[in-house]
Amino acid sequence: MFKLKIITPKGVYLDKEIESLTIKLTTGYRTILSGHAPLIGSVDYGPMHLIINGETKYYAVMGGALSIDESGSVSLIINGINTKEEIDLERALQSKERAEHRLKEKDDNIDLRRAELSLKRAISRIDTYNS
Amino acid sequence: MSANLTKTKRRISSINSTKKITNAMELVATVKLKRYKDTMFENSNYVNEIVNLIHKLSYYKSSDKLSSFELPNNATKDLYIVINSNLGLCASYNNDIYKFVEKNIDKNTAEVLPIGLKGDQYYKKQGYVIDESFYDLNEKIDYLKVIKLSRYIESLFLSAKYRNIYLIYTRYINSIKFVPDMIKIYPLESDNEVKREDRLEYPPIFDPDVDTLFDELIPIYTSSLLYQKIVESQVSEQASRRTAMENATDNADELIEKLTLEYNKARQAAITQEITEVVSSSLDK
Repeated sequence: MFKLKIITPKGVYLDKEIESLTIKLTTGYRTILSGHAPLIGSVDYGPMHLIINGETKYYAVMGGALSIDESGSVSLIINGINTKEEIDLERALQSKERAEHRLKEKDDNIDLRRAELSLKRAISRIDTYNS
Repeated sequence: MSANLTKTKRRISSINSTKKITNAMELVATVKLKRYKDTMFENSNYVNEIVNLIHKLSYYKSSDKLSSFELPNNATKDLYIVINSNLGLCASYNNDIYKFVEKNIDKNTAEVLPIGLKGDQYYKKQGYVIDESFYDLNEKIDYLKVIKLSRYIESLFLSAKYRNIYLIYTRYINSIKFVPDMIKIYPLESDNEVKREDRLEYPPIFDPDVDTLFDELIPIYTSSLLYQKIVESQVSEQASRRTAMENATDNADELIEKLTLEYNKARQAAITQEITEVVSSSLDK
């Protein structure tokens, strides 16, 4: 068991003792168990699994940073988070299509980075839904 | 005399309706103030955590290699992001910022990116070169929009369009005191206070390496900073509006009291005069 604190711009989302955390960093998936060494990592858009009291919970995470301090407690500082139950697959698929379409057109008037971010968000939700 | 009476009566009723409006606005501002204060409080956690992380990273960053966000460029212009309000009736809130801007910005070497309708109109009229892309950002503060702004200025800086990027906002001290303030966003000032002794004997694992992490965290830091300051400005604006409307309501009360007294006096005088006229005319007979 170790402490996990999830902080978003809207406040503290979760502050709980958990058993395991699996998250997509920019370098790949990483699972964190109790007693992990201090670590600072950059979190990608993607799914996250938590095991709390033997029960696995799924979330979609919208990028940010992960920090484990010397006592082994984990802070997750992210732009946004959805639970699997909150995800509307239909909507995510639509916005994925829209963003892909925009990226393909490469029109100067369209904000490419915005389309890219929205694509990342959609993919993160879809992956979580399917996990 | 009766003309005077109607005039006073009309003034009283007009002040009464103004009072209703200022009173309602005061209530609205009070509610909004509370909401924005809560947002500011909840967000402070996030900002603190990010600042902590950046500090931690800068202990271990190779000091000879500056990140591209720290490197000065050779552009000749500065960009000022200025936060004003969208609505009026908030006492000297906007005016204080205008004065601050006039004192600190040189029109010839600077451009303004206004946030808020009032500022947009004012700086245009004053002849500043302005960038209107985000003037309605604070109408309904949305974190995603703030991220967009942060990416926008990041690309402006990295493409060497501006030498410095500043943010002018209103710092909230307490519910009756707030002052315009300015902070530098880019280039990041390297923190000289970072003590190498604060390093742990065994550094944490970095995933990926420190310099990449630093470059990835800076945009997150910038958007959280922008968001925090925009919310803080909103808190100041609502506090300013609340105080202004409270004073206006008090003034209306005072004025109504004075005018009612005047009205009653005039009415009494008119009655007395009529009685005198009736009595004197009956005596004449």
